[in-house]
Amino acid sequence: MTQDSNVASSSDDNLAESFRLSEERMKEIEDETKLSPLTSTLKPLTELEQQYREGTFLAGVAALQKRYGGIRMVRGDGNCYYRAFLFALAETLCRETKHPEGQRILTFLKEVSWKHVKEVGYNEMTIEMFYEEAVSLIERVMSGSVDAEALAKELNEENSTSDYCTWYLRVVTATHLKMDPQRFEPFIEQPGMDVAQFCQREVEPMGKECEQLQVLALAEAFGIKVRIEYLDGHELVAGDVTHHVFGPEDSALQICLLYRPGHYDILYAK
Amino acid sequence: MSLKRINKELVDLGKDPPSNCSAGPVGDDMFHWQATIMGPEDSPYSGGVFFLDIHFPADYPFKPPKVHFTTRIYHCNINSNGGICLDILKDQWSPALTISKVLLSICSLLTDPNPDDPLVPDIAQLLKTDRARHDSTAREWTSKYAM
Repeated sequence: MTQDSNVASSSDDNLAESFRLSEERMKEIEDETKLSPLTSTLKPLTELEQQYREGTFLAGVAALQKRYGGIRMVRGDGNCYYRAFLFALAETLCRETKHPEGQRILTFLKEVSWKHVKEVGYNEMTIEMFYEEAVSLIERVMSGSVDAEALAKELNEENSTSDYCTWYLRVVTATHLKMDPQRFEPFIEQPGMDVAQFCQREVEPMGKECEQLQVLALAEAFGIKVRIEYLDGHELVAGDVTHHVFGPEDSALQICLLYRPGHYDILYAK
Repeated sequence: MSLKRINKELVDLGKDPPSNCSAGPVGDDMFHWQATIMGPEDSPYSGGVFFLDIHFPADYPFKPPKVHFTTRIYHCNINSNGGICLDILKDQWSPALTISKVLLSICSLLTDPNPDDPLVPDIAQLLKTDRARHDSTAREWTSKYAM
């Protein structure tokens, strides 16, 4: 055996070793993340003060406290926007089963979204269990058979309703983008990527964080107003943090989220 | 949920089997399958039959299936333990994918190896510098291990 092939095989071993180590590290990070609940109990907004000692973040928290009383933390596993959206929507319809937007949202989920999912070419077999879970959840909360406490408990079970519905929201998001590729393609930041590739790489896999494009797409698909408050270290403007609204301005159903760099949590207005 | 999905995939594979591939449970354990891939015609693996082992994790389809070759193969993206370097088996996995799609992607990988993201750098190097010698070694391995 020549010296060259020895070198080659040891570099193969090194590669395999570094591959194994990176897989192990990924597993460790995943295990650490799993220590926090999928969605926390409702906490007073003052919780946030303890995380920031000074500066613009603390001033931002003070500004938010004028309008919001509570916060529900969402697990930072890359699914936080979709999971926060799901929880806030289900909880709103659970607390107000006769919500004026309830029936429209159920019809969208049950009929329109499924029709669109098939139209853009998804394989029904891979999606239908997720779709059925999402429809079942919204039907159950609207029928009044699940109270808010039971809902919070159910949505905190691992590998269960929350994950299944969260992934269906990813499919709804991707479907909305695929329904109108010409409109959305210019907003894709990754060079040379079309809408189908973007969805495959950035929307469909669980754990992929979302950009404004996905935030907008999900809000528009459901026709829900999503108000996001940005606690991102920027100077306050007119004594308040910056906010953006996604989805229709005139929707009777609004959900409020807090954005901190790379993460979304649910806010509760006073 | 995982079991229901795996069963659906098995039924689907029976109805609409991908060309040149087959897959199914090894025994009573639905989470452990075996698959075969026929070496694609336009590749140096042509004529070979390659066996793969498939393990579904408990949280399938949120997590990708663990797939590896049990037949030895000379390929820059497949190592001596049968491990496969394929994005959809790692961070590009999504529940929208199926075993059928995974097997088709592996078939494509046999036809079009990806030497820029190698698992076995010396095979990738040879592929880039001397395709003929690479292909002849791959053919040798195919007749030795996969026929």
